[in-house]
Amino acid sequence: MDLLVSQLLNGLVYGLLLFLLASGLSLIFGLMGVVNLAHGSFFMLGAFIGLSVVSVTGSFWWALILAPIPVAIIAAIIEIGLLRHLYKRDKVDMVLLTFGLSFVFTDLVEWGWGRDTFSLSEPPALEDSLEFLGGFFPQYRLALVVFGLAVALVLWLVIEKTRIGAMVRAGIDDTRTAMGIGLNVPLLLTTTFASGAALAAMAGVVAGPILGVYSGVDVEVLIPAFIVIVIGGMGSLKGAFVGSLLIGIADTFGKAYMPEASMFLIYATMIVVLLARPNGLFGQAAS
Amino acid sequence: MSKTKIITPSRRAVLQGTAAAAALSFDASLARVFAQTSGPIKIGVLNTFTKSVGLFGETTWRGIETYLEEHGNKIAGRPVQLIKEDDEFNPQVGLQKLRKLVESDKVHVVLGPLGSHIATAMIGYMKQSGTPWIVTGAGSTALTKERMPNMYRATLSNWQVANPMGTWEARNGIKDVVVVASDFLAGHDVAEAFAEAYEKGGGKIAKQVFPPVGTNDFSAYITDLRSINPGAVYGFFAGSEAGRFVKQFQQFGLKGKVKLTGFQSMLDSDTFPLQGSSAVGGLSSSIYCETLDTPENKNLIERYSKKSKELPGIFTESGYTVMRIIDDAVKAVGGNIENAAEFCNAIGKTNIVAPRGPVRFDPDTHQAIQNVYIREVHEEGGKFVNRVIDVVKDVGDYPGNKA
Repeated sequence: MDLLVSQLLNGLVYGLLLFLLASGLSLIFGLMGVVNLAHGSFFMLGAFIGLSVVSVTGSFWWALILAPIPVAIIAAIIEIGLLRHLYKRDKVDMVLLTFGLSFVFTDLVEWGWGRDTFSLSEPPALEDSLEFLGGFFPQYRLALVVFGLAVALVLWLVIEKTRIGAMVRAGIDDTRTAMGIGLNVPLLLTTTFASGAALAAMAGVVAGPILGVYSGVDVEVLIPAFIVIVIGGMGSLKGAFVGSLLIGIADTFGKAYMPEASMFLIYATMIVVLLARPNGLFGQAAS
Repeated sequence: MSKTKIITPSRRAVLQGTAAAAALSFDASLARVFAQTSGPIKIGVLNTFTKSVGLFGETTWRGIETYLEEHGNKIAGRPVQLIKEDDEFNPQVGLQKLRKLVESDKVHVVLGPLGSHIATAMIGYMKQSGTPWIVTGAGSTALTKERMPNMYRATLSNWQVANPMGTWEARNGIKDVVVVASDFLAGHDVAEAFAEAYEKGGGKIAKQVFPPVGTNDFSAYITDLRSINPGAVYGFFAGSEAGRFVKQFQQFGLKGKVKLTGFQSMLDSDTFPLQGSSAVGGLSSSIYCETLDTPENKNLIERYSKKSKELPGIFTESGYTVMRIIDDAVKAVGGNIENAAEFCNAIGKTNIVAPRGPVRFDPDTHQAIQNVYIREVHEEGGKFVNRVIDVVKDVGDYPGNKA
C-alpha cells in the first residue's frame, strides 16, 4: 500500500513538472496557433540561469525568483521582434522559426556554460527525507508537489476569475472577434508568450535538483510536454493539468512494473485517448 | 564546398613530374631515417571531453600530463607531442577524429577511447591502418576477443571487474541481489558477468532492471526496490547518473536497509563530489583504489596533488599508467616507435608495478592482467575515499575471449 502511494507521489512529481511546461505551451498554442518548439529552450535557459544565480548568491530561492525574469524578457523580444511578423503567414513558417530558435538557444547555452552536466542542489531546508507509511520520501519532492499544485491553482484562478483571464479565453475562442470588440490582442499575445516562458524557466529551476542541468534537456522535456497537450487538448489549461498527471503516473508505473515497455506505455496512453477523443480530453473541435 | 579543377597534364609533364616525385620521395625517405629516434613522439589522445562523461576524459588527460611532467615531457630522450581529440561520445565523430589523428597528424600511437561503442566502431579502421592502439577506458568484454596484433587494453574489461564482485558477494552471504544497470552495451556486459559469478557462488538474483541511458530520475526504480527488499543492489552507472542514483537511493530511505554495491564507476573519487555522504558504506570492485598504500601509488598521489585537490581516480591512474607502458616499450625498442610491429611486441612484454599494482598483458587477447580490489567508501576528515577491504590477485581476461 505505502509503495503504491510512493509511486503515485513519484508520478505526481514528474507530472507536475510537465504541467509547468505544458500549461504555457498549451495556452500559447490556443492563443496564437503557434506550436512553439522553443518552449523547451526556455526551460533549459531557466535552469542554466538558475545555476548561475545559485553560484553567485548561494541561494536556490533567489534562482527560483530571478531566473524567470530574463527568460520572460527574451521571450517578449522574440514575440515582438520575430513571431508577430509571421502571424499572417503560413503556420509552418512559425514552427520553423521556433525550431530554428531552439538550435540558437542550444548553441548559446553550450557557448556560455559548456556541454557538461551540472547538478543544482536542493535548498538545504528541504534536503532531508520525510518518514511516513513505513517508507521515506524526499522532502524536496513533496515540496515540489505542493508547489506544482499551487501554481496550477493560481493559473486556474487567473484564467477563470480575472479580467486578463477572460481576455485570454476570448482570444483563444475567437481572435478576430476579440479584436473587433476592442481587446488589445497584440499586448495579450506578448504577455501570454512571456508568461509561458517564465513558467517554463521556473520549471527548469525546480526540476534542476531532479533532472540535472545540461544542454539537451530541452528536447527531453519538450517531447513529453507535447504528448501531454495532445492528450489534454490544445489550448486547454484543464487538459494540460489532467494530461500531465496522466503521463507522469503512466511513466512512473511503467518504469516500476514494466521497465521494458515504459516508453511504449506513454505512447499507448496517447493513442487510446486520441482514438476515443481526437481533439484530446478537453480540446475543442478544430475550427 | 569548393570545386576542384582537374587539369589533364601533357605526357611530358607527367614524365617530368614522376621523376621529380621519385627524387623527392627518395629524399623524404632519407630524411625519415634521420628523423627517426629524434623527432617528437606523437601520441593521439582520443577520448570524451564533453557530455555527461566528459569528466573521465579530463581526468585521464590529467593522468597523462602528470606522467609527462614527472619525466620532463620526454620518453626515451625524445620529446612528446600530445594531440587531444574529443569524440563527443559519438562513434561517427570518433571515427572522423581517429582518421584525422592517423592520416593527417600521423600519430605513432592512439590512446582511448572511453566509450565501448566508439572502440567497437574503431576496430575495422585500426585493423587496416595497423597503428598501435592502447585502449584506455572502453571496457566492452568482447573488445579483446578481436585479438588484434596492434591493440592492447591497459584498463579494465567489464567482465574482469564485475565477475570477481559476484563471487565475493555470494561468498560473503549477501542474499537476493537486484541488478540495476544502464541499458547499453557496458551495462549488459557488467550485469551478465556479475550475475554469472554470483549465481555460480550460490546466490540468487532477485531482479534485473535496465533503465535507459540518460535516466535522471530513478525514483520509480528505487521505490520498486523497496518492495523487493533485497539484500543488496548491484548497480552499474557512470558519471552524473551514478551521482544521482546513489543520492536518490539515500533520499528514498534505502540506505542502511539495502546494501549498496556496484561497479567501480558507481562509487569512485570522480563521483564522490556529486554523492557526498550518500556514498558512505557503499561497496564496489575496481582495478584501482586511491588509498592503496604502495610507493608507486604514493608517488602518483604526491605528483597529482600539484594539479588537483582531489585524489587520483581510476581514469587518472589509467592515463598515468598507460604513459608508463608506452615509455617502457619505446625504451625497449631503442626509441624507434616508428617500427610499429616491434613497438607492439614490446608493449606485450610489459611487466610493471603501476600505482594500481602489477600489470602485464595476456599474450593471447592483449588484455591487461591485474588485481581487482573490493573497496568500501569511508568519510575521513570531511573527505570521501575508498578503502580496500579485499583483493583478488591477477585477474585476467574473460575465458571465452581466448582462442
